[in-house]
Amino acid sequence: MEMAQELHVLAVDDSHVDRKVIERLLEISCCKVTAVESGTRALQYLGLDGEKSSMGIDGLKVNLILTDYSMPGMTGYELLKKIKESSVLSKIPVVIMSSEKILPRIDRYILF
Amino acid sequence: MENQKKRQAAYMKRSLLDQGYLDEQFIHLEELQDDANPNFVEEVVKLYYTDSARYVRNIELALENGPYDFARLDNMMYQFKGSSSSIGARRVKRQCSQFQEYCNAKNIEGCRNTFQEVKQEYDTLKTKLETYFQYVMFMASFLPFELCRWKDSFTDVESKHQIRSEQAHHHDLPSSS
Repeated sequence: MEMAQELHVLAVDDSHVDRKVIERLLEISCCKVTAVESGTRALQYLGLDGEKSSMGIDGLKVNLILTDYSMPGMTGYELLKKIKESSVLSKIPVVIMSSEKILPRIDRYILF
Repeated sequence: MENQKKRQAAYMKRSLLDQGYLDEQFIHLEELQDDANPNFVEEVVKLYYTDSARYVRNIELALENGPYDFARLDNMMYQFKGSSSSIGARRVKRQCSQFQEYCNAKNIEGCRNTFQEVKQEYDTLKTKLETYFQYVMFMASFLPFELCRWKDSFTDVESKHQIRSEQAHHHDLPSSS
């Protein structure tokens, strides 16, 4: 019987502490994790500027993107927009994490 | 003796929770520990203190002289509060929220006073957690059962007999988790 391949999650969070916790949580759930500190880094990893594929620059396909909402520079929402605008990457599900319950903002995400 | 140390560590943790220094997030972090990652929580806490030092410094600097950028102060505190929340630092988090309220009210004195409270809670928690982790580490790395035997063999003849018969029925040491 063939083993199901491990899911590869790209986690985006500017907090070093949160990245460590997310990595551990996902590890326990048997996911491969790549944690980056910003939306910009995430896009670099996904090769959005260069090669058009959903492979990370180390060749590992990304199955899910988990991102913090509130980050300096590119917010989680802006990252979501960029990913959904890409024909190659738009199929990857994106989950936005936030401690704020701002309904109009949540509605904005669902539009994608 | 091992059970006693376990009880002391558990009591310490209960006490930190009851007094509101920590909240259930800390328990969630402990649930992520296993035999392969027995020091995960301590590592996260250490990371929190090294990483957040710069937020504390930057907020301090920003509070020194006007003009005061309350939006920036609020933003820096938001990030610091987020990390504090991630380790379950309840009292620290509460003071952070208070600070943010003063930012919204553009009250610099309120911000300054509250920031002293933030730092106080931050430092107090560090000391308490260092002690707690020492207890936990002591239990995990040292073999109190062996120490008990060794100590008794010097003072109590009866224990010597006991030790000899126990050695005949050697059993496994309990795990550290």
